[in-house]
Amino acid sequence: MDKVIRRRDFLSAFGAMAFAGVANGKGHHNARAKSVIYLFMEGGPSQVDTFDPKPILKQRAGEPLPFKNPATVFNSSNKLMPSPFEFARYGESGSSVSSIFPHVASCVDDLTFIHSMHHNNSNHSEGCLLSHTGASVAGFPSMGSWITYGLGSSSQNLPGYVVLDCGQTPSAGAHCYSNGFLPAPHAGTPFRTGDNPVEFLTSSDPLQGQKLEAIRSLYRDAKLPGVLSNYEKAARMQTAVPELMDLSEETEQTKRLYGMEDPRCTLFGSRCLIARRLVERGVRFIELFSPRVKADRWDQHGGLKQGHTNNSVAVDQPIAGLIKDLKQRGLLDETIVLWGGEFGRTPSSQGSNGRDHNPHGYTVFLAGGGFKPGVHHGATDEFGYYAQQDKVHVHDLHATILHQLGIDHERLTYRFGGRDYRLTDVHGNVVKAVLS
Amino acid sequence: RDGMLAAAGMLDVRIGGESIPVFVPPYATANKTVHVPKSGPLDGNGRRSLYLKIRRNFYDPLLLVFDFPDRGKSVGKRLVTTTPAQALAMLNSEFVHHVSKSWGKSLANVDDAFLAAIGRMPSEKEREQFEPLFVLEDGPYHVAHLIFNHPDFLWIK
Repeated sequence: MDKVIRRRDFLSAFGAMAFAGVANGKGHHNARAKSVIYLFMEGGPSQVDTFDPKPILKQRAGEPLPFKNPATVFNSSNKLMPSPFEFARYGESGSSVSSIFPHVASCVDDLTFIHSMHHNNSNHSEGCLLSHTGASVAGFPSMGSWITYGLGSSSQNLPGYVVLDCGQTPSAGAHCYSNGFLPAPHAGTPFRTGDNPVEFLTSSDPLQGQKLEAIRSLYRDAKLPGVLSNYEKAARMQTAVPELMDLSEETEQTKRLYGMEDPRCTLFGSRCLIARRLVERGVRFIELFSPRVKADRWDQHGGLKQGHTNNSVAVDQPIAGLIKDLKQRGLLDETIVLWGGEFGRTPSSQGSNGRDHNPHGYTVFLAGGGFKPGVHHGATDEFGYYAQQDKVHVHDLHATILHQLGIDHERLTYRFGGRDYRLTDVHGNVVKAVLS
Repeated sequence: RDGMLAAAGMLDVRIGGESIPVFVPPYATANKTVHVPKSGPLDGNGRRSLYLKIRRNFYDPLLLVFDFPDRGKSVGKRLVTTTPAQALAMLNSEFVHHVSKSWGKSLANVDDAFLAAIGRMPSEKEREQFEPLFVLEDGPYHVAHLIFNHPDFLWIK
């Protein structure tokens, strides 16, 4: 029994390698999108300070919440706190965006906002894990792993699931992009910043070519084609990765679009640009985590105004640049861009100028991939605390993303621990209302 | 890992004693996202892999690509996988090259390499692949490196 399972893992690993040669492996139905770029804002950006304005917070500032204060991490206050930022309306959709996202504001007509996200995990690790793997405990495969498991990747020379290190790893760390119990080729491959993006990539071996010839012959004779194809892919990655990371062929205009000349967002700008290049090279799932700034991620339990400002300035222009660049190159239609954190924040204050965690109602936005642009789906209550209308759970969001990639979330399963698991486990409904 | 050290004559077979910290490559210290521990020696002083210290947020990168289980959860059955990252590790990792170079200093011929690493003599075809390497500059080191990539060394049938 043991040997059969091992061989099946081996074969699925080999099968996944074989998939790499098939452009867009067959899904359950027609796909609208081919790739996903997940812009994960770790720490929990506050919805009432970014994309979900609540005027009542100003009108009733300092008053207590009229309902029982839900348990929060710090349980420090329940007094309504207005946003320190001004909101304005943008685009033909008249979408409201706060002053800390001026560049994203210029893209609102391409964005799909979901204001009614909700779940039940109020701490970072659980929220990050849930957002990435559909489970709030570690050990489960991430969305990117399920997607590359189901569809493979059309990129021959690069991994199908790439995680672009932006200087800060989220809570729960590598579990967020782990393959869990799915075969190892589906794990997210981290690409570091600096000269050594991928572990073991650089070779100064003058005889590598000759050794590879011998290796080819040895593995053919040993009848281990899966291992041989790994050597071939490894050899190709040695040139493919530096070529990907070399931005010298990009125009100055493009680099400016991503904000790369602005030292406050150079890093995230260059990572977003690499994300677009990864899409062009057929990589299936790309993840970026928000970069390190003078603040504790987006987790502003205190110092909300300064912290959120520092965070947004590092990502705002790059995000807008990415969306615009994908659009003008005709890539946005088939690329899903997802922006969001692991939860939102409380409209009531923590201390004098912070907000506590709030998983009960928060905002994410998407672009491309057949999502209806210029649309706002769902709503929170008048204070921005609980999702109230057209609620969307993380499982529903996952089901919808898989749907756009041509995958029926109920049918992409893997037998583990005696039952068939899937990204959405036993939950999730496709949110048809946000699809065009 | 122990197989490579043993073939090279570098394995310390002592049972018990202090664990040895993982080797931290220089480029890892530049990455400030993870708390990087103090580095141990590249070859672990030849100690058996059993005695490598386990830091749950900084596993040995070489062992990690070869299905080193995650200590953050219980693993009922270790996965057995093949990935390009493993091929990259065997082609390029500092550890593999360090052990190959060390072994190369004392390696006398291709037959000895096969006996030490795989426990048999090379076939005619294998001789044709390995002997030309042996006579090149630093030949023994390259032969050692290549035999660490041989299917019969890496994979159990």
